[in-house]
Amino acid sequence: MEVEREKAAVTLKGGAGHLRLVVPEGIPDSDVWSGLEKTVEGARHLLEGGRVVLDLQGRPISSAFIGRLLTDVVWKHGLNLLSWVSFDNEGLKLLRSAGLAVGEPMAPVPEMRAARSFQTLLVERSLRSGQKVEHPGDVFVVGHVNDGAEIVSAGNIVVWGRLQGLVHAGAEGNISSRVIAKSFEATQVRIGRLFSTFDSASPWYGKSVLFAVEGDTLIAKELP
Amino acid sequence: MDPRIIVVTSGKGGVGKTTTTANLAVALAKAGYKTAAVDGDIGLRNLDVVLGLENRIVFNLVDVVEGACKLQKAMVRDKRVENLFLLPAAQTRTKDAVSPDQMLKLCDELRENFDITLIDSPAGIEQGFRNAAIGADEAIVVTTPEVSAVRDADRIIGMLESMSKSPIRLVLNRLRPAMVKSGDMIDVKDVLDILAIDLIGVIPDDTAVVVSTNKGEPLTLGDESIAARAFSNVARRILGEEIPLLDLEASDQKGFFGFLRKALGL
Ligand SMILES: Nc1ncnc2c1ncn2[C@@H]1O[C@H](COP(=O)(O)OP(=O)(O)OP(=O)(O)O)[C@@H](O)[C@H]1O
Ligand SMILES: [Mg+2]
Repeated sequence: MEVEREKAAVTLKGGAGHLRLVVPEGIPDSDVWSGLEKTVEGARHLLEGGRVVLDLQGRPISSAFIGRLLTDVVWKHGLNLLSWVSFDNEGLKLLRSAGLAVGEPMAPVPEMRAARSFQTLLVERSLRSGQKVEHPGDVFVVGHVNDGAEIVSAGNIVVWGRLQGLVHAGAEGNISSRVIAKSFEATQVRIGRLFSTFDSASPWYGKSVLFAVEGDTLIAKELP
Repeated sequence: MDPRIIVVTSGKGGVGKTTTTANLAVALAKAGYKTAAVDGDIGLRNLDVVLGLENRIVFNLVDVVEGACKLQKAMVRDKRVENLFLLPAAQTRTKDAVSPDQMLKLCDELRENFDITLIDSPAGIEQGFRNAAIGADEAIVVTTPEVSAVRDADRIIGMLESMSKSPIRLVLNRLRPAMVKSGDMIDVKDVLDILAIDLIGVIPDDTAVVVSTNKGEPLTLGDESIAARAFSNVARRILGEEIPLLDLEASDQKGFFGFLRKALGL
C-alpha cells in the first residue's frame, strides 16, 4: 500500500502567533534556495511584519548553510526571525554558538499574558523547612528560603535573601520564567521541566544568580 | 508571675531535650518557683531517669488524663530540691493514649498548681510533639550545630509559630570550643541566621553532662561545671534576668570564651 507523503517542498505555515517557514529534509540542497526564494517572494504580504520561525527539521546544517540562509534569505528579504528549529545536534550547536535563538518560540503571547495576569505573591518573611508556597503567578520572597522549604510558581521566583530550599519556576510550562536569588545556596533549581543540581563547590554558591532556560538547557548567570 | 508552661522540643532526636528539661527544672525550682517537669514523651519515658526519680513512680500522665488518679497524686516530689515535681510518662502506652483535648485540660490543671511547667517533648513532628506543645504558652527549641538538627529545628519553629507559641527561644547544645569546620557542622552565626529566633543559651559539649545523665543527678543540683552554669543561666533568662551570654565562658575557659565571642560576633 502506498503511504501518502507530504510533497517535499519549502512551505510556509501559520503557527500560533508566528509563521513557520519549513525546509523539509527530503529536498536536495540545490532545490532549497530556489524553493525558499519562490515561497518568500510569493508570501511577501504575509511575511511583512510577521514573525517567522525557520524550521529546518532534521536536515544536517553546516556553517556555510547557515551563512547563506542569513545572507540570501533572511537579510535579503528582511525577515523578522523569532527562532530556528532543527533536530540536527551539530547544527543546533552552531546556531547557539552564533547566539541565535533556537527551539520552539516561547509560549504563545496570549497564554503568557494569562500567566502574568495573576498577582505577584509577596512573601515578607523567611520560609522555614517544611513550609511550601504554591502560586499561579510570580513569587517574590523578601527573606530566606531555608533548606527544606519549597516554592512552586507558574511564573518567576525572586528570593531577596538566601536561597537554600527547592524552587520550581514556570511549573506549568512557561519556560521563559526565571529564578533570581540574592544569595544562592540551593542544591537544585527547576524551571519548567528542566532542572539542575548544585553543591557548595559550584561557582554560583553564595552568589547573586539568575537562572533561565535557553533552548533546552537551564543556564545560570551571576548578577552584579 | 502568671503561671507559665514551656514546651522543650527539637524536631531531631537525641539533641538534648530531656537533659535540658531536667537541668532547667532543677534550676527553676532552686530559684524558688514551684516547678513541674512533665514527661511528654509517652511510651519512651526517660525524664524520670535523668532526674533520678524512676524508682518513686506510682502513677503517670495517662492515669491522670484518664481520670484514674488526681494530678497531685501522680506528681513525684523531688526530695533533693524543694518545689520540684515530676509528672512521669506512661511506659507501656503508645503516643495515641492521650488526645489533644486531654492535654489542654491537663495543662489548665498544671497552671493552677505550678508557677512553671516544663514539658519534655518527644522527637519528631507528629502527634506526640503536637500533644506536648498544644497546651504550652512558650517554647524552647533545642538544637546542636549539625545540619540535620538545624533543619529539623527550623521545621519545628515553623510549626510552633503557626501554633502561636511565644516566645520561641533557642538553646544551642553541645557546642565544642575546638569545633572543626566539617561538612555536617554549621557556624553558630549561621545557625542563628537560619533559625532567626532569640538565643536563650549556649551549652558546651561536656562529658559531665553524660555522667550526670547516667547518675540521675542533673548538673544544676550543685555542680560547678561550665555546663551547669550554662543551664543555670538559661533558667535565669527564662525568669527575665538579663545575663550577657559572655558570662557563660568565665575565667578558666579562655578558648571557649574566645570562640563564642567570635561566633556571636561580639
Ligand atoms: N551538652 C552536652 N554535652 C554532652 N553530652 C550531652 C549534652 N547534652 C546532651 N548530652 C547527651 O546526649 C544524649 C541525648 O540527650 P537527651 O536524652 O537529653 O536528648 P533528647 O533530645 O531528649 O533525646 P530524645 O529525642 O531521644 O528524647 C544523652 O546521653 C546526654 O547525656
Ligand atoms: Mg528525650
